[in-house]
Amino acid sequence: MNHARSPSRAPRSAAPATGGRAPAAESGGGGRGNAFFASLLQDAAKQAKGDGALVGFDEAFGVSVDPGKYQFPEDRTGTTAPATGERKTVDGLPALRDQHATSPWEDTKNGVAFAQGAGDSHAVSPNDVAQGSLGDCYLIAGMLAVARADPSLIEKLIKDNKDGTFAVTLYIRRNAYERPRPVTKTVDARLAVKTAGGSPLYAKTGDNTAEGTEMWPALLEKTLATHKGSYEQISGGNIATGFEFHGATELFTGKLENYYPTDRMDEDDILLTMAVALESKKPITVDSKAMDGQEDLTREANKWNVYGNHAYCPENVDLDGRTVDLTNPWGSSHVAKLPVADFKRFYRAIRIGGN
Amino acid sequence: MRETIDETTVGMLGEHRVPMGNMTTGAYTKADGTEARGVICSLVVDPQQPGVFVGLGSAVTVGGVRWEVVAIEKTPGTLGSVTLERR
Repeated sequence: MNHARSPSRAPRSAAPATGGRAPAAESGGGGRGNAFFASLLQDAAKQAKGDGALVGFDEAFGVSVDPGKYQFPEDRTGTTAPATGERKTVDGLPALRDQHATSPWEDTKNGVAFAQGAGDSHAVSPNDVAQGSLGDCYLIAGMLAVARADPSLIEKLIKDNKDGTFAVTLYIRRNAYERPRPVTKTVDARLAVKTAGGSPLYAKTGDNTAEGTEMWPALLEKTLATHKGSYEQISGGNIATGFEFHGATELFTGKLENYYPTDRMDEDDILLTMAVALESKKPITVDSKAMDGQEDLTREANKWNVYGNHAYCPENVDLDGRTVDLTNPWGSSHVAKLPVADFKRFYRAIRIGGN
Repeated sequence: MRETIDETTVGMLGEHRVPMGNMTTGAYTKADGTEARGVICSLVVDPQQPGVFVGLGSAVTVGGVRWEVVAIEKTPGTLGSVTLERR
């Protein structure tokens, strides 16, 4: 076994799993003011750290700064208070997919960011997450991976304003040469549903407990859709258009995500890379290969619940049995005891983020 | 009632979540039992089982309700889709 070999990183443009339609370019611009200097100070703090890890003001300078306080104008979202009652709604909902254009938005009145379900060891649990009618498996798998690696990282991203709105932070780059920085947007508890009273169209809500309906996966998805303007723009084929996308886990952790193509790894490399990442609590996802036009491969992979051009989240590696277990972002149809030889045939890449 | 599900996403047939796997070209069975060949896709109608391959004219039963495939489309490089009609 070659434990020391380090697979090379893929180009920045490596596309996430799942195809889609061509998007329109994202707009930008606007004045910078104090936020610009704040960002420079934050960058200086990161440079001072020297190891590439992101540090906040509190660590670098011993002061506490709310990342949501420092935003570029285009990143700000307004809230509109209703005439009566305490609940607020946010101006500027993201556009729905064309085929859902007439679907209603429904306020999740008992919505909370986090709720601990029975049997869960933490309020943020991988079993909270399930993809909906949107091709953003890469994003949902990223949520799974971070929730599995360190649930507290997810908790830090969402502040419940207790008025029907949430301040949600994602780590976003303004250009390819800049590290991701926290961008906070306010989103409300309205989710698009198929029909009134139905379940959310896109990412599902998590646990339903006495605390309320857990919304964190849907809120993270909605925040990214709000940033890009529509849900269609965050589907796998569109996310990198007009947006500096360098991996889903980076959006949630601010740490760089490394990409390991499986065609440059032998089976031992694959097993050990995933086992070490899981053991060291790194968020890890994998991308299956495109199987277009390959009927035999499609049918064979299907028997294992492996679907092409889809992202999964490794759950367990059995080094003795030489198999892997993978969580499907659908919330079902998970992959159990897949031999590593088949993993190598079906999957094109392993992505490992930081924490 | 018609519902459309995109490749590698999870659609709804009635109140049931039904994921769609991949599309390809191959043999499949129509609702009347005859064999056909054409564009097919994998639908996960039972979450405990791998997807079943269906094509135009195939039927699946979900939650006791029968749904028939009335359209199936795939353009290379994009997400394909399947449309089912409640019978």
